[in-house]
Amino acid sequence: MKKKGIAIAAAALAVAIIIGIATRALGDSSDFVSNTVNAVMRPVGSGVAVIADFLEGIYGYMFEYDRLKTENEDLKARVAELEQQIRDSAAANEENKRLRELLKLREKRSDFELESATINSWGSSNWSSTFTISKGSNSGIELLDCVITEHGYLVGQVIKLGPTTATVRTIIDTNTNVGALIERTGISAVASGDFEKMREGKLKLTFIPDGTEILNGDTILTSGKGESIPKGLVIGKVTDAGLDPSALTQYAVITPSAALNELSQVFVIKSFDIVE
Amino acid sequence: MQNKRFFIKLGLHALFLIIVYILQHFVFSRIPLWGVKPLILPVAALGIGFFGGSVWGGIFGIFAGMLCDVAFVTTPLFTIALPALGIGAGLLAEYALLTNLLSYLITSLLGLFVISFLQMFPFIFFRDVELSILLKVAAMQTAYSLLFVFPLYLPVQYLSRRRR
Repeated sequence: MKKKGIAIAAAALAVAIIIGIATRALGDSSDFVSNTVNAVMRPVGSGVAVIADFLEGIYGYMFEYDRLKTENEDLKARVAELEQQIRDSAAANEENKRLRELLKLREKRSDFELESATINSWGSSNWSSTFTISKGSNSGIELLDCVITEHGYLVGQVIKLGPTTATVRTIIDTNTNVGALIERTGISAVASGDFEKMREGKLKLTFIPDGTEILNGDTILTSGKGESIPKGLVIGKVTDAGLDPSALTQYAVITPSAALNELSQVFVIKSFDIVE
Repeated sequence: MQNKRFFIKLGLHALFLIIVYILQHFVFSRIPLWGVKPLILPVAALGIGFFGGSVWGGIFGIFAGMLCDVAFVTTPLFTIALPALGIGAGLLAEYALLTNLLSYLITSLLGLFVISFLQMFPFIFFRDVELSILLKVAAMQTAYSLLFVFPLYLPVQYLSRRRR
């Protein structure tokens, strides 16, 4: 029995020596033991790696979750902040454009004392055309002050006044009656609101003297008659001119130059020089 | 205890009034349908009167009317008309109609007709405007406003149920 054990040990040692010599003789090119061990252990290693990854994931979920959640929230807040900055920047650009236009108007009409205001809300009636602005009597605005765009286009007149807000009646409202001039001929008429035209965003030119030539595309300006609206503001352009069905009187439809539906900021003329 | 309940009801009505005003003036005034904007506060006032009784209809109508006059930049037309309509709606419910959705719809239709006529009045009698144009706007305004009977039905019922 003892001899048998010694024989097995000797055989094992011999095998080990042979393997050792063979490995040594093959150098780095091939390591049978390593290869065998690696081949056998590779699936095991992969399995262990998967398990390790899984455990790491659980560890991460348990201990990193809060940190990641906080980081995610921070990033979301940052994205929202950046988006807001982009929106603010776009709004600032728009305002910048308007102010540049206003600067040109100020150069032309240095007598205007202007107050900038934003539109708070539009009147919700189907029977009138009004809006509320963000400035009132505290800013020196008075009743019947004239409201224009940055280009000097007439928008309307202040009809109600509070300390911090004012209500503006637009030029297409049915109560509007503004002294007007046809720029090309210098002939006077009256720009008046009309219910049917108001629904189309337009107004009418009335009290046109007989024989007056009006063409589509004629520019209509304010005549400055009365003391509340300065002379020379652009009301709009004639888009439809002709004779009434009775063929007795002339009519003209004016499309306002101020894009009323797109307004967000307006300028109130607080004072101006009256030209006789 | 009764006082507390009363003030809670009052607070709920005030909250309802403000929400409806915001919806009418700031939200739906930007969403015209067929070129018209809806009248939501009058429909709400009619609902409160119809389901809650003429007293509550009258009280709610006063405040709703005041807000309408602010929103529409009108003379005190709505401050007078809405309490009257709120009381009228309450009386209809008390003496003539069942308090259900169909009756609320009919009452609102009648109330909106009255309001449209009042709004058309100056154009009919003091301005040279074709009646057909006015009627068209009035009809579209009434139709659009009537749609709000459906979303308002449950809130006005809830408010009136709390009173009983």
